[in-house]
Amino acid sequence: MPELIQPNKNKPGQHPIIPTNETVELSESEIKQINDALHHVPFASGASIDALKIIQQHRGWVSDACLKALSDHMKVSTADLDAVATFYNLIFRQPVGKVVLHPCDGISCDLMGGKKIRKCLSKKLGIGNGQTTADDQFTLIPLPCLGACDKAPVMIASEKLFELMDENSVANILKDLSSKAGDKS
Amino acid sequence: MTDKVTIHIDGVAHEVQAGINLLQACLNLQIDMPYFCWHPAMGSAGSCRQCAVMHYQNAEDTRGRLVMSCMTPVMDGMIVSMANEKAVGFRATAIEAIMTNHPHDCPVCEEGGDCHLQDMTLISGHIKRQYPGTKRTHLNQQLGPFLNHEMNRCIGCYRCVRFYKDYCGGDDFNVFSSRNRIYFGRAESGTLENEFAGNLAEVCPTGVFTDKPFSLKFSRKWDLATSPTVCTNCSVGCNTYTAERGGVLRKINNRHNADVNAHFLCDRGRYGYEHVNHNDRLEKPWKRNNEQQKVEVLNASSAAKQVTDWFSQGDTVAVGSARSALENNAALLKLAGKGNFYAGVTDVELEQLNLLTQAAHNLSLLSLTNIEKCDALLMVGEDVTHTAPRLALAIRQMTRNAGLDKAAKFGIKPWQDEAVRNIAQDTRSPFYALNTHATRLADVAKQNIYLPPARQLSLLLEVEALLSFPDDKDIASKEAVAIAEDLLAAKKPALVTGTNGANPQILAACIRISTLLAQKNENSGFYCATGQANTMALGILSDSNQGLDALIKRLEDKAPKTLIVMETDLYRYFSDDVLDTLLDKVTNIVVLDQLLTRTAQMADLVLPTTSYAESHGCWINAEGRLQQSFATMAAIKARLPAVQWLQSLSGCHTNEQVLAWCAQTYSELAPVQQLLETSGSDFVIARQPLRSTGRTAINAGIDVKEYPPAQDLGSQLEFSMEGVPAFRQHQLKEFTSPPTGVWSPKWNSSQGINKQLESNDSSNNNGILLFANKTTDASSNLETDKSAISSDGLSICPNHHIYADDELATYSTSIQQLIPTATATMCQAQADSLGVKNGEPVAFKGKGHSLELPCAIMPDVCEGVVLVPMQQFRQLGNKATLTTAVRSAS
Repeated sequence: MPELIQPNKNKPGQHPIIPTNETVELSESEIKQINDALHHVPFASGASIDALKIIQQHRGWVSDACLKALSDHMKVSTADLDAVATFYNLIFRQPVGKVVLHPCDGISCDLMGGKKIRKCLSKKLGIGNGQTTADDQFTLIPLPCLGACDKAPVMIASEKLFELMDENSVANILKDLSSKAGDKS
Repeated sequence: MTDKVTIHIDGVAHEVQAGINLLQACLNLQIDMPYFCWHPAMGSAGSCRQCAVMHYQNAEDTRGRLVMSCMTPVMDGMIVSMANEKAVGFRATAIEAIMTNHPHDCPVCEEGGDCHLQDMTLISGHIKRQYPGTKRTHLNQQLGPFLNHEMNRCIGCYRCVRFYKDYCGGDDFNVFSSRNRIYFGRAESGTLENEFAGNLAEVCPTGVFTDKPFSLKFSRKWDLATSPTVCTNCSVGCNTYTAERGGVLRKINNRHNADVNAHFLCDRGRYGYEHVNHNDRLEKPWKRNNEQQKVEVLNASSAAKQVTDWFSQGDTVAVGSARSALENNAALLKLAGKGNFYAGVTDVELEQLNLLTQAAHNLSLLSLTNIEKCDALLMVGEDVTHTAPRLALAIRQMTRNAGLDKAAKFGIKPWQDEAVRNIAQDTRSPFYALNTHATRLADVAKQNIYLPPARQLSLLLEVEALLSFPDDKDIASKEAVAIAEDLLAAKKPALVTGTNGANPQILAACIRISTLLAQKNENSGFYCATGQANTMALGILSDSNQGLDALIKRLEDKAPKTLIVMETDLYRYFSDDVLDTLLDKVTNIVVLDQLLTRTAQMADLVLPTTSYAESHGCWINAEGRLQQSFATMAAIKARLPAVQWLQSLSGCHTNEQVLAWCAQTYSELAPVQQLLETSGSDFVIARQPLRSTGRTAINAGIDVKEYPPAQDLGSQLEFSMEGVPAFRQHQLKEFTSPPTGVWSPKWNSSQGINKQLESNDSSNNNGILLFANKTTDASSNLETDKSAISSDGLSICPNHHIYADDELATYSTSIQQLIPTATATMCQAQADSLGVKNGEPVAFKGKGHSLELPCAIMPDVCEGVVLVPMQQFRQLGNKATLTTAVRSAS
């Protein structure tokens, strides 16, 4: 898969906060987790999604070198792995920030002002959809319907659901997430 | 006969074959049902929504429901409507949606005029674009020398990935991303590894994958003159369409033959044609003048007279060719006499060919279609992917049969592709690959067995014993027991081998096993891939022991006065050291060839011959199928077919006369009479399509005169658009030659063939089977020489390569790029015992020739074997030895 045109100007390597994943050797814990996943399926290709998630959990995103290392380990071709990786929105084939914000752009959230929330997020962070902030803290990827229409508008970030958002709460949420992101590093 | 059911389409009752899907039934009925994702060889996917029709429950049902015809089996009494307003509207909307992202680049797209998408768009009635938005764009990839990639044109039908990945087993190509961003390609730019990738140019309904060498000499389909030909790049004899314009061979397309290649070709066949256009093509007769140290150009009559003069002096020896038509070989044989005719193959190969032709009447030689239907297969002694590539694709399909049977138990039809694959998973019919090293079919084999030839032979002897005495399991190896059990349990077992392993003992053992199997199971079969396109013809024509090694012996003993070499480069078989001195002793060397080969450079008289694209001829493939190939273009300059150069000496002036002589002289060739008896019709046949443009303008840059088209005296085909056009030919039964192209009303693309499949299945144009008549002759002496089993020494074996091995194919620049460097390939353990490291030279000696090759270490090569590329192996011969100091492990 050729590189997509990246709106994000951040190139891997310039910001050490995001792993570059240029050369990849699977760590012991990665291998252990992947092998566990492999034990549960009759064909290695069946563990592709799990293996990609494991890589992403350890390395933030899935680079070409990650795919190569995974392919060598799982004996599944890189083309087959990449086919799975590129199919799913939440397997990242480009570097993403510490926190990935998924504001909902489903119809219920939009009825309840979701559009305004997303615009507000963009403005506060100075980035558009699919982009990452210059300090590599945040990446903005809207998703349709997070299944919490009764609490619209909603957003998922750092495995947490933010409910009944309004423009005033956005700043606090970002501040909160930003300090947590700082903790993680 | 297959069962028939009656279906009602728009109120008209039709009788169609049961078990097929509605789409195929409609196409068979010549109804223009649009489709994209369906393919006759790959079944239905149901993803493009293009073939929607209204299906009614019964006569009372007036509402009906939309169904995809490719996913709907035909049922007796079925009522459907294609003309229903909703169905028409649905199809038009579907294609309009597909077309929103398709660029408006037909004028510069190479698919234009031969485009399934263009045809379907018009048939569906989408003629005005309403979408005003921007279109998604993609970056393209470099996919190697054979294919262009232009992803913006993609309509997401999935035919490419289903062909490449599911049908051919390629793992370096896939579909990426989702929705509008969907992308078909490799994980990163690079040459497509699969040997059948070139078919993507035909499989793709539009211009995403196009023929790259054709780009350099592009012409619209309506400007190409096409003739039905037979591929001359290996012994399978795939049927091809060769297309030319302005005397330049432009491209090769698949020609459907239900018994041989059906829908696909290999890349060697598709791209191995550039020798026809090559700069080294000979144009005029040349005569060496030693006194003045120059080359004289002769005219045709004086050149022919020169040959006659030399011939009349007596003592003439002739060499036939495995890459020349049957007629040429027969004419040469007739004039030289049997004792003086040497086949253009090694003695070992000729020995194997004789084994094969003698046993052929007792064996059931399978067509590729029949191989696809087998349910257990043993492949012995060579990787057919490299020696007879299309055969390997058939074997790959054969392994699917167990899965198809499993699906059938659930009521799933074989064309319900996704469902079948889902149920089958890795259920495969047993396929054993017995070879010295890993084959390209290793991924679908039940077991890959890598053994040196001597141990292959002893395994075969065990299998043979087990077939006769299935209970003697304790004395045989595990592998032999498994093979014998699977072959005996199968409904249609088959054995595939070849002559390219250069081991007559193994071939003899395979023939014996097949004979045994045939006694136990009349549905069992055999296939033996031979060396080149017409090696089988040489096997029938020549006496045993009259191969090239015998020729060398004759030259050594007493050089003849005149040596006529036809379309064989002796230097491919013998080294300069051997040949130079021997050829010097011959007074007159006459070489008839298309190209300036090394042998032609040694000639005293060179006669330029025609390539397959400029001459008619018969080719006999590995299963003994005699097929006619028709000239695509008229021969230019002084080029003539060998038959005509030799006509005054052979007494046969036309191909028909040669064939008549063959039919009388050789009992195997008696069926050729059929060809001669089919009287021609009153009509002539056009090679050019009706719409040929610029016919008068193409030479305007040279001369404004319009010359009459060249005359073709050898067939009913015309080098012009005069005559019955291609789209009408298949409808007329009186035509005995295959159509000159694939056209169908409204279908400009070659997908139009899918409306003709039913008639093609029962066509008489699929070739004449020479060994169809079974005899019960006692088979000849095929005892195994026990010493062949016991040899424990190092074996030097040929390493075949699809792009490196065929002489003519290597003239193609696209193919040259994929020829690997020559190495001595072995496993690590073997390298250790020889004391060589990767890259270090290994020296060989054989047939008076010595050479060095760098060592390459590969896994999956058995111990005790050093692999040498076929070309080098041929020069070293079967008794080659290693001259590198062997530091043995002891």
